[in-house]
Amino acid sequence: MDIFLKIWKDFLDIVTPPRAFSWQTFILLSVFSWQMSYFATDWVQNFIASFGWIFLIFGVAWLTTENPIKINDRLSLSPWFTGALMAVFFFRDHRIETFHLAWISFPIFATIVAAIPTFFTDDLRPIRPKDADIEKIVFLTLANGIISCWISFHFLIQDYLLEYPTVLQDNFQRSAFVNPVETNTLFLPRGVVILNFIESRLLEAINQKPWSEVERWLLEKEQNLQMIKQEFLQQVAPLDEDTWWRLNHQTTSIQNGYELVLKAIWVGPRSQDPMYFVEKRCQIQRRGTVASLGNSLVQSSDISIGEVVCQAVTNLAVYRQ
Amino acid sequence: MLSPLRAIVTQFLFLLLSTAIEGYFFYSQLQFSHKKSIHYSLTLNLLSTLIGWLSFFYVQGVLSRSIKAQLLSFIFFNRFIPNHSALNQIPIELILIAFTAFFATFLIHYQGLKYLEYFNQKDKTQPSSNRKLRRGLSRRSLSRNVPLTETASRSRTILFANACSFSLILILLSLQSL
Repeated sequence: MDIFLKIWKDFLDIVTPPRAFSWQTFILLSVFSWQMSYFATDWVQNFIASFGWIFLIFGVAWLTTENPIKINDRLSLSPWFTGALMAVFFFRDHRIETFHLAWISFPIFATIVAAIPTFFTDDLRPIRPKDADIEKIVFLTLANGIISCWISFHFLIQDYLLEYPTVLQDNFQRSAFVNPVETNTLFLPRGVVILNFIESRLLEAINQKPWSEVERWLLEKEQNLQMIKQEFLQQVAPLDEDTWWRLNHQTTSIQNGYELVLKAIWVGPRSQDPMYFVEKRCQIQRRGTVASLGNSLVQSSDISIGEVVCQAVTNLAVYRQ
Repeated sequence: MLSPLRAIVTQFLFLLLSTAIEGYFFYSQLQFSHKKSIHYSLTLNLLSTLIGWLSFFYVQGVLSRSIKAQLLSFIFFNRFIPNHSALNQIPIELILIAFTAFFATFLIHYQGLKYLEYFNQKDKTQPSSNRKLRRGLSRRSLSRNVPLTETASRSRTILFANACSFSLILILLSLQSL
């Protein structure tokens, strides 16, 4: 119990402002604003909460300027804290674009925070910064600008991957720019999505349909598949990588019917010369319906129907012609 | 997920390398002090890298879809899309880009060095004349500060320094992609 009392006492010592105008005042003001914002509604709530943020930013800026955290006694890390808070403050709605912007702008905010004190004397009169300070600001601006670019490049790559999910299945051994950090298969190669779409349309068109209809569909499969692909491009939100998939199909005779082999071939960016492919096999078999009708007078072949069974799409593999 | 860590580390190393090379040239050819040569060369290299990044972000946004796929292929697999149209050898575009990058870097370094020198001299002679400093930034007074022979040797030095660091980086890059 004693130890808790002691911690509480230490905490109070730190938090109690030594003067009216100090960083503790700002932090307390920000806590107070947040408290108050709970009781308010709508825009008033936002307004008061913003003040909470602004007080917090000033408080932290003051705190870290008074007690700087330094590496080697030269490079101060303090502006990064305030810069981070500013980035969060300016981009605090929870959309993904603003989240990216917050990260990208974070080094720029840190630079601004680091530069501001050099434009003022200790008693807050504006001055032209000293030469050494100008050099420092120029260096910081350039270096942090490049760090911002690195962060943007990171997000740019993630955006590329959204448009080209297939490349994630490849290996990045030879890349001079990127390295995989975790292997998740969150993104399906687009070929898989296309083939599954074709399967659903194929089932709709000929599964449990009279055999004559099935044969007609198979005769015109070239156009039918083209139409399905068109439909796919219209219905599913298109990705940039769609143009890099080629469709290929083959039918072979099997007992009681045909086997349709659908291949989607990846001709886009890849790490080796041969193309890649994914494949789906569908068996289309002729079934008599005698049993279901229970009538032996009807010739089973006349009303036999097609039954379609498709296997799952294979994994992405090297395509050999 | 992919991280651009390789790009960052490579760029950091190349920055160190080109800063050292150019700093050496500044020190030996232009008789700058040790500290000044390294400071100038670091600032100039950071500047050209930053401008390079910004132009990259701009250019990748206006590329057509098929060229963008080639760019992706280059970033992800260090090669262009195989067996695809005319672009399967080292494309002429890449050579053009390298040329542009080289001369843009040269111009940035040349112009940047002028400004750095200008500020440095002004600060020493007239430390407090703020207005004059701003007015004096016209091109005329910039070049008037430096005699003609000195500008020539300066541009030659920067050209040599850039050529050296670019060639070295190119060699390292081709070694890495072997």
